[in-house]
Amino acid sequence: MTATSRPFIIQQEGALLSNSRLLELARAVTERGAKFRFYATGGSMAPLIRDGDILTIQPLDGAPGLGDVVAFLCSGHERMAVHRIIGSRKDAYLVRGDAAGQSDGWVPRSRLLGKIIHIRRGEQRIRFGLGPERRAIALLSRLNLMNTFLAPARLAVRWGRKS
Amino acid sequence: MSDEIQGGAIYVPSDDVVSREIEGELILVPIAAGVGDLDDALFTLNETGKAIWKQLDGKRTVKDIAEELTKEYAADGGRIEADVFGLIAELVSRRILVRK
Repeated sequence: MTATSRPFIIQQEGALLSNSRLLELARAVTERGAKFRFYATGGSMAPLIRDGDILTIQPLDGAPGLGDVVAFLCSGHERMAVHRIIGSRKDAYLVRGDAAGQSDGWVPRSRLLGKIIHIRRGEQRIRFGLGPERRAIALLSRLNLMNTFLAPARLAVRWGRKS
Repeated sequence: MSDEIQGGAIYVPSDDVVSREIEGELILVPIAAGVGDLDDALFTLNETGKAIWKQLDGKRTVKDIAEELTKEYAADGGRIEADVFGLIAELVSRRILVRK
């Protein structure tokens, strides 16, 4: 530190954080027992979650259930992902993105950061996919039927954009 | 209650702030109403700010911190003291630090 450097605080945009920073901050906040709110990136949970949506993670209180959307530490990578639980066994959960071609494999409970309890897109709250229907979505995903289910919806969106 | 920073006072991080050093930077996330909200605000301290933050051990007064850093960096004591008081005042105004 030189005598000429002034201390100051930079207020920065949460949307600009790197994956590794996001993961560390998510861990720090949820370990404190607080919820963590951040911007989603990527399309692996489309159409429920889109790039730029604001997600809220709640630290786990008990075991997560089938269909819950959870934030977890990816195996072998210093990054966090948000996908759906499509199966469970003792202390491990089978996780898969709704739009992903395959599952992430079995994730031990120790790598779960929390459950997604709130999705905001602009001023709108997105509820579909987090309610009772989440179990049906998990079942479709487990049976590799999500593409069949989502294809008409994606076509409709594409046609809507072209017209 | 006066907002002026007292040299003999001890300031500590608020219970409503989470701090983490990541990739060499110190990042502060305020927790409001039980939520650490990156949509709202998060703060990064630069090198000088980080050096001051690391001195906030709950035992050192503001003056102690200024003296410690003056010795450590062999720099102009007056300037360092001004920087320490300035940063602590700013962190108190943002409720990141509270008086012990």
